[in-house]
Amino acid sequence: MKLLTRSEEYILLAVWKLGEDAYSIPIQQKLNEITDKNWSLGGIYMPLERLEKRGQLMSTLSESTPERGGRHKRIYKLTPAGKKALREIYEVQKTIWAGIPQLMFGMS
Amino acid sequence: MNNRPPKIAEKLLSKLLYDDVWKTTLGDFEEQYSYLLDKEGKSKANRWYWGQILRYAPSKITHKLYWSAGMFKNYLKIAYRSILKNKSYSFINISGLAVGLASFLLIGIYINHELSYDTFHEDSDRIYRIIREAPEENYMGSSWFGVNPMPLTIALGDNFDGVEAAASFSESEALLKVETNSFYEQGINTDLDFFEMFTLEWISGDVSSAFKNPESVIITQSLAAKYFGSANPMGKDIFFDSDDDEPVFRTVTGVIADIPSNSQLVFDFIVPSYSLDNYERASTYWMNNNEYSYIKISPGIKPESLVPQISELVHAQLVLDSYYANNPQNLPNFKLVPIADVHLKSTNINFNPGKLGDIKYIYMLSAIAFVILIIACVNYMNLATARSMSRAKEVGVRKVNGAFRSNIMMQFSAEAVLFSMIGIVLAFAIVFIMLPSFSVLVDRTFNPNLLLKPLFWAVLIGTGLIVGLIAGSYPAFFMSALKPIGIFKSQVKGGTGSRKLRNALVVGQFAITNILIIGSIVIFQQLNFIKSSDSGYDRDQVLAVTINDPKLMQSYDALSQRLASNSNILAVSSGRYLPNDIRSQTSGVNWDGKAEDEIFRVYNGGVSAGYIELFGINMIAGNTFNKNAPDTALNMIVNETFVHRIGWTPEEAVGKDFTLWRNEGKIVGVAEDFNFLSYHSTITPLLLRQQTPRNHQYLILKVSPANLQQTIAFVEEEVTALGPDYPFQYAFLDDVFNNMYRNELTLGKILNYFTILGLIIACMGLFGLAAFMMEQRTKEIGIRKVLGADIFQIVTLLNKDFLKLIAISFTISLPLGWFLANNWLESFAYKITVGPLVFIVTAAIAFGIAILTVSYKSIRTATANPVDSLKSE
Repeated sequence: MKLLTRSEEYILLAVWKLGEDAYSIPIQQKLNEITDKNWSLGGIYMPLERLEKRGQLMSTLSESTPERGGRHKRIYKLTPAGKKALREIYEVQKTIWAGIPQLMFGMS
Repeated sequence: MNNRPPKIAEKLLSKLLYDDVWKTTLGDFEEQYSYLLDKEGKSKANRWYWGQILRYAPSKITHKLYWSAGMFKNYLKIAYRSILKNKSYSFINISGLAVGLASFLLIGIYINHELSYDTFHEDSDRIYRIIREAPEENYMGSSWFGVNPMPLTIALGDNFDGVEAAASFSESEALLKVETNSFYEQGINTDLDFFEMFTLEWISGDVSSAFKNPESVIITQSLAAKYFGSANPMGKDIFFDSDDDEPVFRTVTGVIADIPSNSQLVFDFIVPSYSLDNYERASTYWMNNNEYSYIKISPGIKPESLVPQISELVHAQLVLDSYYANNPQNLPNFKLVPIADVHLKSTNINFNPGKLGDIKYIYMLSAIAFVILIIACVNYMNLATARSMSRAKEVGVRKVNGAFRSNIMMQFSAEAVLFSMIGIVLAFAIVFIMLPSFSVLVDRTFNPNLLLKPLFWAVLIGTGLIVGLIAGSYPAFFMSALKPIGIFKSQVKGGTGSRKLRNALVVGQFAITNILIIGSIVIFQQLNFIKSSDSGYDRDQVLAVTINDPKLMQSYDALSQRLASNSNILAVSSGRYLPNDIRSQTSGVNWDGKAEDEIFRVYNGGVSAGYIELFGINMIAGNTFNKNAPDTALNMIVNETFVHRIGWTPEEAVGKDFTLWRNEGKIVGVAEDFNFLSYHSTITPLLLRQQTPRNHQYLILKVSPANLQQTIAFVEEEVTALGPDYPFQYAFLDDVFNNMYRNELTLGKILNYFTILGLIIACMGLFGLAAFMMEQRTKEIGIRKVLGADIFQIVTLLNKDFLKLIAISFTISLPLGWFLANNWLESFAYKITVGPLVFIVTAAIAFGIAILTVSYKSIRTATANPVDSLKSE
């Protein structure tokens, strides 16, 4: 299994954290919040779709709201495979960062 | 406040995002939009929303293109495979399309050429030809004339209101001579106004200096090359000998480019008319009509508005003459004809420059072109639908695998387009190969660069694609509508609906072909009637030598004796005209008992003794001309119509005194009517008078068919011995005669070729159709044979269906063909009647060919071993 990319990782994490309300707009806002960068809507559709296709996310259509012009939301939810992928990338990062923080922060 | 995104933008975006996956995205955008609306204001939100469209459009478009290109590649591949899979079917279809397209293009090239006449002149939409109606005259069936007095254009060119320029010219034939090079050439006499009107390209020299000197001439490039080779012709002298003038040396003062092939005015040299002998008189005398007149009118002026003023101008001059003062009802009327119409719409006008075309033939040929194209299209549709059964399974599998109806339609359209593309390539090859012989056939020179012109390619490819799409649309529509369930339950057996349509198409195809056949036969019969009919004089083995040297005829007696001494020359005579074309007409006749105000028009020609006998013209009463009659006696022979018109019996007429142009003479004989004009006009009064041969244009010899070459060589030797300065020109009378019907001959030939083509294409279609129908019935035939049917019964059974269709088509085309044939024959005064024979022959051809075509297949089917057809499943 391929490792997640950084943006995929962020998106999965955002979905996880958002829980019941995880659809495109809040996800985008969450990402903006976390990274302090401007994510475009278009920029997150592709990874969302890709993750869903890979089985790391699943989606359902929810009720519509007036501010959406009466259209449905697509709510995303992490699947076990998604969680497993997140764990994997976490392990990798832990390993690769091992020993670095002391050096870095010790220097400063 | 409206807090929805802009409507148009929303629509566009929804189009871009149409796929299922994207359905919710539109909602996301709207939510984001209202968020931005609250935070940043309307304009910013709108801009963002529009921005999304720009963002998504490119990827969407490339996405779409990528997939449809992939699909298209697949369509082509399938089409290619299906062409290979059924080679004979593909061959029939493609060659039918190619031949149809090629015929369409060839006829299109011809029509385009005919319609382009004289349009190359600058402001050609403002140039008009003046034609004149002389109410009291009827010459060769029409009272309209293309010739006018010279002072008319002089007056119109002189600051006449609404006329920007006016020019006139007369045609002239002259013998040109440079050292030993000597030929007859066609030219015109005109003045400088001519160049203001018509667009001619100067190679050397210019308008201002060309006609400074009266003894000058302007020649075309090809004439210059003919006489001077590559040397510079400017300033060189050419010896001119023409009827218009004393023989004279003229200096080349200008060279112009060759006249384009779509010019109605055809000439190789231009002589200034003011240098001619009769100019003084011609330019001031209003009673002499000898000039073709053209005017260029000012922009914004209506041509009709000028006509009254032109009439007034002419009438004011003509009433000065006592004849018109006493007969004002005979004053001429005028009409202005756009220069572009002169070529095609002048057939009923007497005297025209150049070679005329006929708008009727243009309509006829356009119809033929479309008809052939339609036949080819029908072939395609017919064969494609007939084949639908064998391809139904393919469609079924595609549909089951998820093909939309539009995919199937695209697939079949692509196939048709591929067929027509191959057809286009073949059609181009055919046109390329056939163009030279086609140009001989229609007697026109086409621009050699024609095949490289973008317009030609646009028409070629455009027509090909349109034909492909039209022909492909029906099968595409039909095939895509099939229901997969039905297909696999094998319920598709061509359906009665499609069979009816196929039958209708075959009927239509053969109806058109039948009409073409009827047309060909009728034209053939009429031309044959003309060629073989007894025109009242004998035109076989008659050699007509054109007299160019006026001195030659002074020694006519000696010459004729020497010629007659040759045993292969049976008779010698001479005449101003040949008996097929006596076109001089006069009303200057008088006789005892003629009413004062009676106008009696009679065609007349001078001949020498022996003319009547040489042509074997039958006499009804009196005698033929006497060889020994004194030169002073005016002896005349008139035709039957002549005496009937006056009210004499032939016997009464003989010996009557008759005055021609104030010369008193005697009628010595009455001849049977013979056709001295063309079969288009009825026979009118004719008068032949005996005359010394001095002014005769033809030396006429009756020769025996034996040793013809030697006889001609002998005549040439004798004639050139007396007039060595002039080339020897001769023709056989039957050729001259046939040449009078050149337009009809051309039409007949064109129609023959295209009829054969139409028949071939239609038969190919029938053959293909028959082949598929029989394939469908293989099992049925097998069972019939097992049950005891014999081959003949089966062949009859199979042929019957097709012959029924041909029979129906025949009943449709019979009245239509009859109507069209009679319409064409109307222009002839002497003609065949369209009898049952025409239709019998047409039926025989149509049925014969259809039976041959179908039987080839049906006999094979009928003789097949039933074991083979029944065991296979």
